[in-house]
Amino acid sequence: MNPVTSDSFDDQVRRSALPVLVDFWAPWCTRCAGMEPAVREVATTFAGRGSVVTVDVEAHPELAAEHLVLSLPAVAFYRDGAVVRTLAGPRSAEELAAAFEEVLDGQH
Amino acid sequence: MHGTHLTRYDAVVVGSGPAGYTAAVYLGRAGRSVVLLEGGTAPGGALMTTPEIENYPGFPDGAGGPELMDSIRRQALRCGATLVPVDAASVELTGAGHRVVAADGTAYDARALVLATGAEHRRLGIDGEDRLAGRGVSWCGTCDGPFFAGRDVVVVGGGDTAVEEACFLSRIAGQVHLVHRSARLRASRVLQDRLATRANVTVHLDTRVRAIEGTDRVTGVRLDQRSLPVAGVFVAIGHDPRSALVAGAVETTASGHVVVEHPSSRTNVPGVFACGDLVDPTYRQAITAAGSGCVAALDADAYLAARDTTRDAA
Repeated sequence: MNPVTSDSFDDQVRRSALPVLVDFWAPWCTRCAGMEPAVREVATTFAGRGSVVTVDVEAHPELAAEHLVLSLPAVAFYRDGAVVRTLAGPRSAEELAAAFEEVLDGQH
Repeated sequence: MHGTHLTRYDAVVVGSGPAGYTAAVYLGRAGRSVVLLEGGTAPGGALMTTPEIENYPGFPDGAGGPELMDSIRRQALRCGATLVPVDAASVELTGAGHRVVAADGTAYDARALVLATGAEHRRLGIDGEDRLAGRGVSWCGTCDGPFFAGRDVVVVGGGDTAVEEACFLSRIAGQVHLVHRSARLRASRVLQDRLATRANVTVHLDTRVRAIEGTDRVTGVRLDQRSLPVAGVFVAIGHDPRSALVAGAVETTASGHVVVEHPSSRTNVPGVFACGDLVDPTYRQAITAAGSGCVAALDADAYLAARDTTRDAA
């Protein structure tokens, strides 16, 4: 669980050698807080195979706008520098893990 | 991941929210071993997206929804309940006992089962709704409203939730259009009065939203007679009970609510009790859900006690 900013996004996400799960959240979003344990669990499960980063959209609205995030929580999966899949709304650890596996397998 | 938990309990409670947590408080306090499956996606239930609750007794200055849920949750922990943040995937109801299998594969066996899975947002079922979900279509103004600062939005619905959403969004958005299919709003007087004070809210009665327009994000809605250019569509047209877990296993109404023997919480299956929004199409308040969670716990405890007695006598 690695917080990224507009400045570090390219390094941490677009140029990442591993696929990346980007978790968009905001301090006002109680559903995001509810999903945080699931994101944390996925970060542990995928350590070494994929990375997990978080974006505070209140602090970085430009990243939200760029990713067309208009609902929270939201997740974007990056592989080889491009978004390959997005999820909107709360997801369980199982659902996040299943989607991440598909991204790693190249199914998306 | 959760395999270290004991998997046999006196009671399993499925669903977090005022009903589920209150049931866990009462069962724990009665000395029963109880596990509560809180859900893997949105623990805390509908109140987690309610910023301010003004009518929960004991809080004269109002209470925040998430804070209230956290308080009841901690009370359940303090009363000895085990809380697990996982969804229930399936149930097996048998005469001897009940089994709930969680999404992570763990099986929880118990003699009594309390269902408190609540209700979920109803969808409009119109063109553009699914395609633009998360792209301007939202079911939660307090979650997503800040993305629409200064932009025009539509709120669909006429009940308390819709009017609360419209009032909330009027402080953030540009113009707020409240669109309701009937001739009058169903919301309570106090909320309608509050709505009337908002200068940037326009109410469209006797009007349906026919389609939501936009390619990669919402650009407008098509109403009966006209279109409105808006950036956001907030859907607040009611809730459907979340009873898929027990569909076919316990009796439900045509609307999907679990049938209970009022005023008890007993379902048609012995040892299975239900409470909260799952059984209640009418009142749907935090306090009524908490009250029915209490009833379910007392019913479950009495059910367990009767069987304890039978076993002792045998």
